[in-house]
Amino acid sequence: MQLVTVEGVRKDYTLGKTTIHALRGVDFSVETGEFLSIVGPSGCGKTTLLNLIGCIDTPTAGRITFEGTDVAGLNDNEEADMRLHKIGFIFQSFNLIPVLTVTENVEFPMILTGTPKEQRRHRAEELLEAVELSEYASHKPDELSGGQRQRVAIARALVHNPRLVIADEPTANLDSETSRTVMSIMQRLNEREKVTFIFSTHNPLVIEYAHRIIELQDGLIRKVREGERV
Amino acid sequence: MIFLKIALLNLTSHYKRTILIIFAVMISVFMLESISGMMEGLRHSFFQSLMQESGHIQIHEKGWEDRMEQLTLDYRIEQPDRLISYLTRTYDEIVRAEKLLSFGALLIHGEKNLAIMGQGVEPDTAFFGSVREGIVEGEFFSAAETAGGSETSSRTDEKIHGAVLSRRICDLLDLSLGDGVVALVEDSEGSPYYLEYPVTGIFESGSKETDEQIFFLTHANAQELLYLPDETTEIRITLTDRENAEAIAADIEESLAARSGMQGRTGSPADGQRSGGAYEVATWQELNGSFILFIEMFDVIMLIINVFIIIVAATVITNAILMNVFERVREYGTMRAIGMKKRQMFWLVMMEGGAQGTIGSIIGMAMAIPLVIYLQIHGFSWGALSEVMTGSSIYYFRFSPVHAAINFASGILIALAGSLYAARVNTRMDVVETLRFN
Repeated sequence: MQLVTVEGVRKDYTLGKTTIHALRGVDFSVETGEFLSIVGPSGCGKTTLLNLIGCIDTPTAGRITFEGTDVAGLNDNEEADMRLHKIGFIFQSFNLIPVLTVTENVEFPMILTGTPKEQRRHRAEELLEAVELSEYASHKPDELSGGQRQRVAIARALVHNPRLVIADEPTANLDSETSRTVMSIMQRLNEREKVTFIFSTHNPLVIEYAHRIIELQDGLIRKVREGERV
Repeated sequence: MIFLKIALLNLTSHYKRTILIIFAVMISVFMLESISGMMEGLRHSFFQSLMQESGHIQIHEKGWEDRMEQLTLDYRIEQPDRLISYLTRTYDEIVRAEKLLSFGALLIHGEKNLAIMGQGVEPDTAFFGSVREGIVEGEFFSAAETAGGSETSSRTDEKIHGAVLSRRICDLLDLSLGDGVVALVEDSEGSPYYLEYPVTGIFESGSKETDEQIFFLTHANAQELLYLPDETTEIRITLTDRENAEAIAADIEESLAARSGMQGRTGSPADGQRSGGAYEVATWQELNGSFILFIEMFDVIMLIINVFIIIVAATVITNAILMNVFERVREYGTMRAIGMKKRQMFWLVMMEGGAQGTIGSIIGMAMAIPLVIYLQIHGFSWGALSEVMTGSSIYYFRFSPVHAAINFASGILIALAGSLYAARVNTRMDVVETLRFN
């Protein structure tokens, strides 16, 4: 079943008098439960593509659907609701809220959805256990290592049971060992929670975890291939 | 609740900027409350002094306002007691109506003399509070004293009571309590006349002008000295509410005119009529026009200062909050990427500003209120300016709970106004833009 479809998507940015064509017409679809990797050199349009799929940016042309809904037709609030209920984000720089504890960071999306405290606390504990950070529940992000922070971010991305998790270079700031750990956790959660993952990366070590790999170059899909996991 | 927690925790995590914002709010609230206390004190002192100096309504004989000589006895009200009785019977709003007799005199003691203004007052006068309360030796025409004077005058057989003088005049004339002082006047018939009075009261009013220019006799003694049996120069009225002075004065005019068959702002009551006599009824606004204008001008100046304080504070606060927000753009972007709505983001920023405004206002008030209350009790001197403004060399502040509440709210509103701009800037940024922000 197709979760996301991307049809003829173009994205242009204007920088002063220069127009940058970040995406020049991209077509592909993502199946439910897939563990999809988007790879390519810097500036090829990976982040732009993820932002468009994640409803935090809008395409210049083309169409993106999420569970059959054209995301271009959504207003600000509807986009926010879509992100809140159906999409989880994992950022390269972790992007945790520094003043909140690990548990509160994980709970944050559920707070926005108005989930009762007991329920969200239970879910946060469950995910912290899954990412092996239960003992750090009351720590602040700046008391954790990079790998630990990214695991908190993974827990946060999954806490509200999204249909899709978008991870933009999740291992870019991590060493190889930690990268493996993080990817293993993501893979495990993909299987356990039946959540679709789309992640961008440069890291060949990370690519081996993907079901399918889309290679981008200069804003176009150069190649689509199956991953080693398949 | 989590938003409030984030807002409060953000305050501590960016404590330097928080301190700056709280300090700006605190200073502005402190200034606003201090100025407000000063203005309230000024108004209160002014109106209290006004009531003491002029009452709310004065009645004189027609022509008094345009008199050439300040202390002339040419304008007189006959049978003032009957007129007062009529007025107090007719108008419930009149709290007090008194006759006063102002005259020029030469006070003599031994080789020394002093030209001065004499004031004949009822022994239990409600006016001249600063003198009555400023008695440092003796008494201000006590009931015992007025019940029986020591001697009688040769002219009217009126008992001679004492004279009440300021410490300053006593020093100038080498007088002590109990000494005799001669008051020489030109009486109502133009003849020189004098009587000797024992000094029965010495005062320090706090006003240099009052201390150097006025001495007091009982009204009856002043009538006798000036040979004005059953006459006075002024009837002074205090009302329940000074704001009604204009309407009541107009009514009194009409009433007096009707009683004498005359129209307009002058009249001659049947009971108190004297030959060719008519009356001028003046309100405190008319009697103190220039002072009221001064107060209004002072109000405008203070308003300008307040606006200036608010603008400066709002600018500093807006700037600091904006920097605070820009430092955390990525954090805000993350929250929005996760699903926080613009409205929630807006209130998060506003909540931080509100918290800073509340803390700053509480500290500002905690500093300003004790100061205002201290200066309300002890006052301070602005020298000549205090005297011009309040009739006293000591200037007293006044605490007003209503103004305190307004100033407290102003501090919060200043911070919220600063946050409003920052919140709008923040929510107008695209999520993608905020996530890229460095």
